[in-house]
Amino acid sequence: MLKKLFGKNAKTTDEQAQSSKASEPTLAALLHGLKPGRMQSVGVMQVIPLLGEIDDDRFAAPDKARVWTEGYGNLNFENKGEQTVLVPCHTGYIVEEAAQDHAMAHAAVIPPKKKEGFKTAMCIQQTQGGYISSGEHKMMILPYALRESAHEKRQVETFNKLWSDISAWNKRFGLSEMGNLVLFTKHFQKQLDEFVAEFECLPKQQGAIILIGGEVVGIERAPSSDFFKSVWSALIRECYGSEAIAYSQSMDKDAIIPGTRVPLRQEGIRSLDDLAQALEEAEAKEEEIARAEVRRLLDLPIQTTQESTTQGLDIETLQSETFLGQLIRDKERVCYASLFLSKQARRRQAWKDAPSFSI
Amino acid sequence: MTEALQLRNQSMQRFQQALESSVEQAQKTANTLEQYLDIAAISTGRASFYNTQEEQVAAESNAHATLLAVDRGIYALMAGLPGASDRSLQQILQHLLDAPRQAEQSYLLSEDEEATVLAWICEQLPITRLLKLFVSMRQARVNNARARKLILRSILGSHRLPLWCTRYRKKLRLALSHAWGQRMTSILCAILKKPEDAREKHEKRILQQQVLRFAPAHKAASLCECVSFLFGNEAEDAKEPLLRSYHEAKSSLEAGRLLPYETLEGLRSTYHKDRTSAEVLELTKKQLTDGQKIGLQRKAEESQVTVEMDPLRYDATRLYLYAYARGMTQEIRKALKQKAQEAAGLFPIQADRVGILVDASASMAGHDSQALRPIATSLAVCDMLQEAARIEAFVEIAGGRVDEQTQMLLPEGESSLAMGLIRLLKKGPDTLFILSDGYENAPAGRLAEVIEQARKLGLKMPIYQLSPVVAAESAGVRSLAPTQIATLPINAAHQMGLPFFKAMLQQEPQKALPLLCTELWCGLQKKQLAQKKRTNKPLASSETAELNAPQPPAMSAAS
Repeated sequence: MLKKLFGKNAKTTDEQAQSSKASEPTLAALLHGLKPGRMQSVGVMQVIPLLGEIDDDRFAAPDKARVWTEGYGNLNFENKGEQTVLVPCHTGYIVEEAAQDHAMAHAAVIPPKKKEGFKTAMCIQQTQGGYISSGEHKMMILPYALRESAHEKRQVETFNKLWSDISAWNKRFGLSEMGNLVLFTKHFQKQLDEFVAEFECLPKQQGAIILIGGEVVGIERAPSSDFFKSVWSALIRECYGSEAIAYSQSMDKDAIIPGTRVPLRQEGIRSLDDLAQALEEAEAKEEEIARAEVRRLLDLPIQTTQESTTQGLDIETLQSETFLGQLIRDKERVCYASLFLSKQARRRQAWKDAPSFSI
Repeated sequence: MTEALQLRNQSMQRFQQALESSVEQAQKTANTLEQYLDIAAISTGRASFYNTQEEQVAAESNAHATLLAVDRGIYALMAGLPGASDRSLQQILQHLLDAPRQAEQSYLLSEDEEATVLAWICEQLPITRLLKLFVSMRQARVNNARARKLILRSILGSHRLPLWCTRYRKKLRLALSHAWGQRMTSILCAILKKPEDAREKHEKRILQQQVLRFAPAHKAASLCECVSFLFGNEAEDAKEPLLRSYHEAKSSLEAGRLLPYETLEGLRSTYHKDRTSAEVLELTKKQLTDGQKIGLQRKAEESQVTVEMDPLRYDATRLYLYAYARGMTQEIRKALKQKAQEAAGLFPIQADRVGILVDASASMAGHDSQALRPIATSLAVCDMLQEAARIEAFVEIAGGRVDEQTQMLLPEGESSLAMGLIRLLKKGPDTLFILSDGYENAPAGRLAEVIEQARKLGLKMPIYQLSPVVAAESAGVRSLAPTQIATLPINAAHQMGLPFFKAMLQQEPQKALPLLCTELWCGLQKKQLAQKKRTNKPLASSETAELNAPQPPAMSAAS
């Protein structure tokens, strides 16, 4: 089955079990070669840029590939270039033409001058008929809240497998209960645009750690700064931006500034020197809080399972107590990784954060 | 005083009374106008670092439609704003032509006055923009009598028609056939194919009504040749030198030296494939426009052709963009200095010690479609502000890095302005300018916190944010500290009048609105009359009187 889903190099479940790594790496190992940059912070969302000196220019983002659908739930890519295209986990296409929008359920590798089709893709626009015509379409990445469901169903070949999740997601915002993601993206277009407007992709940026409400919710790594720049908007806008909207809506208006955003102290400022010092203090404190939050996670053991190999690149699925996701590895070198906080971990965190009993 | 001016004054008085009777109405109009001013000053209809082209166009269109809905007279007058971009003029023209006047409704400008403004806009717009607009009107099927008349008058009445014919043949053909309709176009083509003495009486009448009435009698033969050329009749014995040159260049490249560069280059690629593009550049270098002279410098260097370029003929933003592309030279630096001094003389704010904070974060690079324009505009304004300081100016750059090769400041990194502001405040400026697109993320809101604390320390100097970028999601410029500083749009260092109209509207809308409209109307009339004088068009005696009449009192930032 896996071979059918992921191509001829896919491994069976037994093979997968055997190839599970003997020595379990940690989250820190996935970020090898990167260093954190200065945190950017707007509203409930914060982004710690991950900067790297070594650009792996063998790889290109899907914006360099032609994309189309052949039947519902079958998303195709054609890579005409010389670089290998890495398709990030949950890459999707919301197109202008009258066609059913689609998204991938897993990461993929498209070798140079090759076409690949994925029957595990998902329709994300219930009630809209038509196929996406071949072309270079603007990519998005599924809203963060839908990624875990998509991840769980990544091997299922049913075109409508995400409709119930999208429907529940829309309901959460008072929109029509339909498996149509466009209802959400249109309704919140202005807010989503604002999110992408607020954050800046830095030179040499190859990844990011994303915090919402002061909690790390996602870790992204790309093979090069050019690659990351290509997927930046999709990550910030639809993926994490949508979660920031959901978070803000679930909180009281006064409580939406996270603990990681430290305001300037009001007391003891009698001169401009005091003001400069207060600014430095606030910024140092803010950085330290965010970094402590990340540091807490670095030693978390993670388990990876190899799912397929294309051109010597392994696509692995990752599981830990806290994070789920996929990575693409060239032997020991991690070329791509996308990790998101699991629902289970969030539930655990919510329990921990609940007030202790007192009477 | 002329009858027209009396009517204008009555209408303006009515407008003033209406505003005075309703504070709410005045505020609403002022708010709409403020939003429009942001767009008019800096929108290019292109993508920015943060917004797509579609988002920018939607925001722009919305601002125009909203102001048009308030009063089409006020909207038409916006064409006269100092610093209004060509794009906004284009939009005003299109919106006014597209929306018919309602007979039962009264507007600030009469129908004739509105027609005057429309004609003036047509004269101001570069022909490329005008033709683009006419073609888009054809696509949108805007074909009312006013639109048809405007198209025909703008094209057929211009003394530059022979040049345009060789340069924009296809677009002119589309615009004219839209104005005439397919049937009339065919009729005119058939008439023009005939020798002049073979035309029937009724054919001459048609020609007179449709073509010749738009130009003086002594231009009739030239006009007929041009129109005939546009629709495919290339006469070998054309009297118009450019049209003859076009025809001859097909057999001899040298005969095309009078033609525009791109026209001869097009003919070369079709009829002289063995000749080089460099030869075309050498042949036509005297015909190059200012824009081509600066744009073709790299090609000229590669082709070893000397194309003279006078840096003083370009605005400072363009010179900075040139320096980004080709490196900064002493000559450009000197021209920038002179431009800054000239612009400083027009700057409405007087200050002894000026603090300038330049945001050089990554977003100031702008979108690829207009790469580096935001930072180039900011640097040009920064130069001007330094020259405007009566005693001294202090500059702080937040973010960015200096490129070793070009020695230019490249936008880079996150937006962190707060510490730069504190450093400036320590130097004791009496006025502060922040040149920024308004996006702050390290962290958002920090600059506002610092300003708040600085105010508590008793630092009360005015702080202005000057933004070179439209933020589509904010439907205008984006403020770093909305309740604490004035945020004004800028598009060029020498056009700072428009942002300060906005500041005036924010403070006293009831007084500012009528004053603004009167000023704009008088300004438009004077500009139009002055142009007539320049192009040697006869002036009516009343027009001469108006041209010589004293100017209305100028508005100052203080008023």
